[in-house]
Amino acid sequence: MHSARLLFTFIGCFIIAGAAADGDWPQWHGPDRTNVSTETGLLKQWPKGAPPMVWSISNLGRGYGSVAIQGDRIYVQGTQISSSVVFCLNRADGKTIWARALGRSMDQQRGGGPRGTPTADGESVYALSEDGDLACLRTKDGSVAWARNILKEFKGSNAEWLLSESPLLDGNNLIVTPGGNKAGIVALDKATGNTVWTASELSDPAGYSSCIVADVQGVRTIVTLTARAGVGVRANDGKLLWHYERAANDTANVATPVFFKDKVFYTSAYNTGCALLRLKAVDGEVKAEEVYFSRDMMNHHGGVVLVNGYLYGFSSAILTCMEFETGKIQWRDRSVGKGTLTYADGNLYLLGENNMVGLAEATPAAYKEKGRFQISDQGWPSWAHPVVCGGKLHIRNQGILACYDIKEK
Amino acid sequence: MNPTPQHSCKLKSHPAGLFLPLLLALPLVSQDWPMWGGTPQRNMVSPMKNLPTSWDIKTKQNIKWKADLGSTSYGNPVVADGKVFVGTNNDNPKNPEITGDRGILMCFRESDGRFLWQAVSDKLESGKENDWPGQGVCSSPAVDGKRLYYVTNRGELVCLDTEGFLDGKNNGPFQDEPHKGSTDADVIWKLDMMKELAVFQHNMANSSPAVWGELLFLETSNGRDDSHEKIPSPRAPSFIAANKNTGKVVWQDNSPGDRILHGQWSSPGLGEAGGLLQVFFPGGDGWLYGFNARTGEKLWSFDLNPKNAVWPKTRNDGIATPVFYDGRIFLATGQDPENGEGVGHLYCIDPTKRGDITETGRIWHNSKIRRTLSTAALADGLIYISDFSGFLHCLDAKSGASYWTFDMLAAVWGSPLAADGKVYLGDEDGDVVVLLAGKELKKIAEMNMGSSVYSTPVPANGVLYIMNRSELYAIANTAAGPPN
Repeated sequence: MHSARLLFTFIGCFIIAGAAADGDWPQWHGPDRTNVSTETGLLKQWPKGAPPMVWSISNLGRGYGSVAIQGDRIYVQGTQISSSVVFCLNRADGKTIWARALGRSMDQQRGGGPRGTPTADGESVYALSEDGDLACLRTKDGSVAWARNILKEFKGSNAEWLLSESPLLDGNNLIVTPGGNKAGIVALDKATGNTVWTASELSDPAGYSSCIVADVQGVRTIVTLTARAGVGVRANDGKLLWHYERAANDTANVATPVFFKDKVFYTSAYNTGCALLRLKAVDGEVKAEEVYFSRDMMNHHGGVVLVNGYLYGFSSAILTCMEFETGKIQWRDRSVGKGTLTYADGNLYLLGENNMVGLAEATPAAYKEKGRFQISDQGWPSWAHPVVCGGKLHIRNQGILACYDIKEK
Repeated sequence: MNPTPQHSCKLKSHPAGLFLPLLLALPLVSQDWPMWGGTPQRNMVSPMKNLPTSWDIKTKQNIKWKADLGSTSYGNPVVADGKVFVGTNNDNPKNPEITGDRGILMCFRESDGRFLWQAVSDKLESGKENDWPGQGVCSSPAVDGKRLYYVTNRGELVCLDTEGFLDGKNNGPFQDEPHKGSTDADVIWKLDMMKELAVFQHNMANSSPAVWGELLFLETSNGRDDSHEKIPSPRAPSFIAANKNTGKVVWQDNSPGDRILHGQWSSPGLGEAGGLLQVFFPGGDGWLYGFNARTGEKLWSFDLNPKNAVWPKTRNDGIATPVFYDGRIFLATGQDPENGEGVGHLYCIDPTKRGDITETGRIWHNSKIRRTLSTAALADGLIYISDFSGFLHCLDAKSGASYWTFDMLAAVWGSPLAADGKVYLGDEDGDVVVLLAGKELKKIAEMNMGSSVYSTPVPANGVLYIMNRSELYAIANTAAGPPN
């Protein structure tokens, strides 16, 4: 028993080192969930047509999730027949190494299949299906270390457009939002799956967002956007720290919050808007105070990135650059059409829901496009967030995952 | 049959016979806006003059009055009988005794915006499948004399007394109003389409009725179940005509039947074509149907999608209302806004043809437009129509040739209004733009309304009504003052 603990601790140390390694993107929105890559040496302008394609696969079934990349592996969720599946791919050529079913796949009028992105952690990978099936899989062969259905066990009900969360690792805890009664957010022991705490003061149903972890002046805090509010709970015990409703709507809250220094930014669409909150740690708790509320950023599902003091994201269908501290609008442009984005090496990598991929400079001065190309239509809006990792651009669209070489030669 | 019964009402309201010859010398046009689109032809135009082109909700410049609504308001304003009627929810209860989620139809006094009465509908127990939470009343009512017709969130076609209980009388055969206070609605009759016609509306019943003579026309919203996999009630009517005095169904039709793609959230339009009074219903199967309005005889049908279109990517249904202008029908296609942006199609259709008129009745077709919820405005041979992606298009009504496109840079749910040589349009950012009507694009002004304008600007008696999510503004040039 003791030796097992020690072994886990050891693995834990190893993993934290692994996650920080250059060239990895081991989870949703990258190592620190900011969706900002630290890579450099990427193409400043795309060639006509598209950057060279390294490989492309088409066996992922359905789904809206993005990719997690660690070492020589890529993890991505999809479907096989009627199952919701985690795929482990060879990073060099996209070939499947293993595939493991988490449970049944769900259909939805806006497209079926999983929406989440796996979280890679060395010898383990964690993934949550669209139906609440959460599992820890061994990366060597995809075998199940443990599995729980978080909707059943914490009495959450599935969301209209199905669970879309990517589980968050915080130390030894795996954080997910079942949205159950007195179990809005829960922490599970990542090694065993056993419950560590439940946020018993929070009973909001789950939104479509994923949690981030924030160090608020020494108070480690889990931050997310539920079906009702932007919230923060204490990372060590799940105590509810704030519950801010103004930036949430009652239809769909999707965007992962943005944390920077002592502030958190929430945004949602459906005529809602965005808000910046100032966070202040007091006696081990955190107080949140509204800096501004604005209707100028109503982000639906594409997320926002913060680069050098400016937020970039689609306000409904319009790409918008907004000053983080003030909410002031710098510019608006239709760009590639309503979509999603990521950031690397001075540029925004854009993916419009109508399959247009674009590159634009991340500058508050003006919208400056540096290239675009069309990917093939897969019958559903292309909502999976793009990933830049190791000089490659990864674009997932339902069954297809394509890898492009964007390294400057 | 009087095509616009409100004309006579308005004339009668002028006491001095002295002015009558002068009024008769002017074109006989109503100054009220008694139903969605103003008239059964549904054309979003008005000959009204001196409408405001600038206002400010902060400084109250040109703001005649403002009324607070619920938190979400989709029932576009209508103005008649000295009152303004809107559909909203109950997030800001006018009656502190009646709280919680309900569908609300509110009535305000036209002159000063004073709240007069409200009709309250409880939510259906079946929940979002038939009656999406928080959406309130989404139907825009039709007023005819002292009677108002609208569709509740429960799928009921209801006739109300425009006076409510303010006249101290419980009018009509219906006597079981749960609330009978002075600020409550007086129900004349009700037709429960779910119970009596087996209608299964998808998410919301929202049709805006049209009145013509003794008949009321509306779409039932019959559609798919929550899973979107089944149509629980394919034999239930999609389209009905009812007697306006009794609420009895005169004729019904279920042509879309088991081919409904999603829901049916459109409203009918009417017009005299080919020697017949016709009613036009956009079906949830993506076809437009023309009927003899009096008998219900199906005259023709028109496929609004290319034959190779595939639901939901490229095949659309009709959300917008068909407009009848110059003997032709103008209608563009779209989808539930939740389904996002996509390709759309705008058609000009000849309703004198018979049978499947997809080829024979197509005068022109434009596929530059995106998916839309917007109903067209046609004036002086030009068509103004917006799309969900946020583009306002101006085309030639005869040829379909494009003159200009204006980018709102925000989603548009409402429709343009063409009046007084200008075009008004609101968007999701809450901006209302005023453009010069005509073949040249010219923006006159842009005002922000504080929250999304999902509604369509409404002109009545010299006043422009603009509703955002939670407020109704009456806007008028203060220098001139509204005529009264």
